[in-house]
Amino acid sequence: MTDRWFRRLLFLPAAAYAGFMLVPLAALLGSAAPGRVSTALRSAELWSAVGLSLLAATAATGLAVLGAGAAAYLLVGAAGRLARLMATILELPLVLPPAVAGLALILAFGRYQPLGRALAAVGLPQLALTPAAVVLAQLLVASPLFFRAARTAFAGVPERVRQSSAVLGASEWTTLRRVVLPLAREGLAGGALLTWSRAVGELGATLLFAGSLPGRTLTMPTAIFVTWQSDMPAAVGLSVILLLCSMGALWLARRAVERA
Amino acid sequence: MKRLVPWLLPVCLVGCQRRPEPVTLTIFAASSLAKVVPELNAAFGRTHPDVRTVVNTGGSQVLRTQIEAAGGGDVFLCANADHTLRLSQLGLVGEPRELCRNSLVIAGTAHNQVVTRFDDLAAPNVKLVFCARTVPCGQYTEIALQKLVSAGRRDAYQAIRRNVVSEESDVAAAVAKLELGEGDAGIVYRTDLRGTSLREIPLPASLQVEAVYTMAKIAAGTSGALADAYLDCLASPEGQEVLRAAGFVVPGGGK
Repeated sequence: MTDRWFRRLLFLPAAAYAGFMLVPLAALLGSAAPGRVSTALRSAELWSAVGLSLLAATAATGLAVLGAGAAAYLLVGAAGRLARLMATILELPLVLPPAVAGLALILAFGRYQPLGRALAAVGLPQLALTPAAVVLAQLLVASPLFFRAARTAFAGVPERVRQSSAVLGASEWTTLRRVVLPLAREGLAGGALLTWSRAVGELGATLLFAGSLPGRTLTMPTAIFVTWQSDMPAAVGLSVILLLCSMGALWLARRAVERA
Repeated sequence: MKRLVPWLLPVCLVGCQRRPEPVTLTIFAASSLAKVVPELNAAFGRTHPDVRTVVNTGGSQVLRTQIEAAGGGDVFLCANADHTLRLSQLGLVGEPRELCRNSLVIAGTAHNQVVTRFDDLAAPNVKLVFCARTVPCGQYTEIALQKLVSAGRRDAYQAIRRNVVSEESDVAAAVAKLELGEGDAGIVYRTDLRGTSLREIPLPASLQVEAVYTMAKIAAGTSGALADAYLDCLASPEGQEVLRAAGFVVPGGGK
């Protein structure tokens, strides 16, 4: 088989797949009534939901980069059984249905749960049903994506590169900053974008842990879900706005990453 | 493939010998009916033992979309009369009939006694978990509370609204949060309290709103006569008694 025929053969599943992925999006865009989209665009509730979605996803991604990134860095070097178990546990939320993740959060931090009571006893504010809960729900559901990407990215930095940096007298911090991070940059940036995208679309865990109070904890996905119960055309309008906002933000982020 | 034949053969034989496939009736039921539908199906099964009933539950609007866009099901049991009316205007379901009614109650959490009567809802620092105003339970809650405004108690209405810490996407989510104690109280359907730890606190009669549940035969359904028989069964004294026992309001108290 020539290379040209091989590529033509590959074209079949690729085209079928792309078609399958595009058709639902096109149907969504096609069924959006322009009037509904423009009505939605004028509502203050919508903009607070858009703002919360983008802000919370950015905060969750920041926390993921710091926390999951550090954990991935430490675990890549470690080969013990405990380290492997820890890595598996940190990736576990990937298979958890988001609603279950939300239930787990509320059972952990709810105001009548042991940990929630303990936090309140030392004067910390309540977490459940607050904007902070939106960030935490997104963090639990989306950060394993960054953890996994970061592990792969760090593991891709050859051990001997690190060792030669150490031999030359660089501290671990300098090696991380000057050698490891630049080499792992692409994988880390990809992981962060993926995490952000997942966080923006988070629904199940947010609904349970943060609720959906307009102006306070209502995000775009929960707004779409809640609106759908009474007014499907309006929900379609919101979905189109969410798609466009997320596309714009992702495009900006990707450009910033490519430039850096 | 050859190795599979001995395994497949008995399956085929059993399949061929089986009696004709029993008729299946698919019920699309609103979430708030989920607990009582199996009991209604059991009542129907007593007169139609050869009919298999399967249930698809969801929010009334979600079910309506499934009927409109995907065409499916034989019977629609809906928590909001508007949906069945619209669908019947489109010719997608038959003439809607009233199934039963539901009333609203205040549900207090078992974790504290912050709310013991209606006026407590407006007290400072009370945490209320309501249904979103876009879902039926939240719409009825808003209608009930608007009666406060009409009665000249706008300040009480505003105090209650200020106390809302979450608006839930469906009544089940509101009940779940109240059971966990994340809110001190909320307003839900009376039937939602069955089998929960929540305390039932009556809503003043002057504010009461009755939710009307309707039922209709889905036009695209394949078992027309059976769907009619199912609706008749639910409207019969026996069906109405099942609903009454589950806490629903039925005409004449179940006859």
